[in-house]
Amino acid sequence: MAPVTDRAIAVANLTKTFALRDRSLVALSDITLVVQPRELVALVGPSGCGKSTLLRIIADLETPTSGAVLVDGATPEIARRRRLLGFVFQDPVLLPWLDVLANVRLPLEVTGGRHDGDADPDDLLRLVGLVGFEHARSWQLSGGMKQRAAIARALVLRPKVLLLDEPFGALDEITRQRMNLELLRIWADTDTTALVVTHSISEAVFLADRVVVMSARPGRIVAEERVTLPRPRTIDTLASPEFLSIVATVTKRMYSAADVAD
Amino acid sequence: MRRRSVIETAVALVALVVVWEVVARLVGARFPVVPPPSEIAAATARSAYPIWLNLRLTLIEASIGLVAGSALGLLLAAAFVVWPRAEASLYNLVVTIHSIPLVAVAPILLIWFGVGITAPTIVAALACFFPMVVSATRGFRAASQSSLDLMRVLDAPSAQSFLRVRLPASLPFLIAALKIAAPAAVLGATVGEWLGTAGIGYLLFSSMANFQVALLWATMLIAASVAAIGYLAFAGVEHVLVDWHAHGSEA
Repeated sequence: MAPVTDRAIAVANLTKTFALRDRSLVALSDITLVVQPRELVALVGPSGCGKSTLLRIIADLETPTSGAVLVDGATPEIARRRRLLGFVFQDPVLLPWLDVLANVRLPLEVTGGRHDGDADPDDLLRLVGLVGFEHARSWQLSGGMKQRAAIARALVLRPKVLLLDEPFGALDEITRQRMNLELLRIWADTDTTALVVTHSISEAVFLADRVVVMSARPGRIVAEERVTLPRPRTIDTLASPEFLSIVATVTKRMYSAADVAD
Repeated sequence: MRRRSVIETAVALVALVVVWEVVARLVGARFPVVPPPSEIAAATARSAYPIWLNLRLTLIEASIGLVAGSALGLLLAAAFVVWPRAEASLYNLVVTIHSIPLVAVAPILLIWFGVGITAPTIVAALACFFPMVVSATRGFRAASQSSLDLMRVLDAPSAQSFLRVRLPASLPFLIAALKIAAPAAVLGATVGEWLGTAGIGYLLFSSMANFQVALLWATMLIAASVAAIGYLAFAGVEHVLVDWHAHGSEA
């Protein structure tokens, strides 16, 4: 399949091999994936299935061994240089010597000030619910608040594509669920394409338009499931029969793929 | 320091001086090696001007040594980080140089450069060099991989990434090195002056040779105070500049 330029992300036949001391490890095997503009796709799989590596390749933080990746029609490197990408890491990576506002402003500082089209950091702090914490330092914030600030920072250059690498993985269940609701609200407000990596099937189903299931050793895509749940999704969605049935389907497909592998 | 601990420290110091005075006066005749504080104070006052002249010289040497030694250490650490191979081949050499006692280096430098400020300054610089190399090498690598990834996603030029991430992340290590280097510079300069003709080191030696015990103590206490002030100055800088470090590293 040839990647087409009007797709937000197009990955074709991508393979990633890591050279270890005495052998090579196939981290990703023949990955093909397309994400449409303004779609929210969740990559779900067990740890070690290479889902984070795939995200890092799309962000040009790693290079693929073979295969093609296009982000908004450009190579990851060009997309990165055009600053089309926002990345939210598992750790919030707030610089502790800067306050919240300065952390959110960091991308603007790095690119030499606020240009037309960049977001207003104050608006973003309002969007992520951090009004009043502009001058707090990272150690004064809870885990959820830190990740809110990290999301605001990732959005300040108005990226076309937001990549989130297990953004709430370090948070407790309750905070995590609240952050998922927040993320959906933010995503709906900003018209960005989002690719979220998670190891929680229910989180993936709750967030995404489409869930892509990966399997480990070698990392490959074993299933895709379209999530037809209506938006906006709320806490009630979690208890709906449709939600539970999609979670069950994805779970079944993940484990049947794992059985074939083992 | 909190106000309460400042008061406690002051009270302890005063108590120490009082006890010292009383004990030294009681056993003074049989044990003249430790004069009472009042005699040390009197010797200080009596020789205030020569002490000041010698101290000034030592301060100049220590300051130049601190700046030069730390700067060289910083440069070498930067080279280690840019070319890891340089670290593999030079690190052991640096450790070897550091293991040569400064008292052994001082006479060689004195023969080499003659009497003057050069030899003590070099000894001071040597004393500062090693802590800076070790600390700065770690410091320049202290930035987390994810914070560097963040700068890469932003396509930050390497100068930006250095100024905004690597340098701030290294500051706690650089300041820690300076906290060690500042007193070490004073001690280094003093050792370098030992065989010279001026400076605190010389004053220590000459008052020992002339059995001016009170002056010897006065000089020693002044040298110790200056070293302590150097430490405290950088501890103050640390408190202001890297307040975030006390709260755990990057988060």
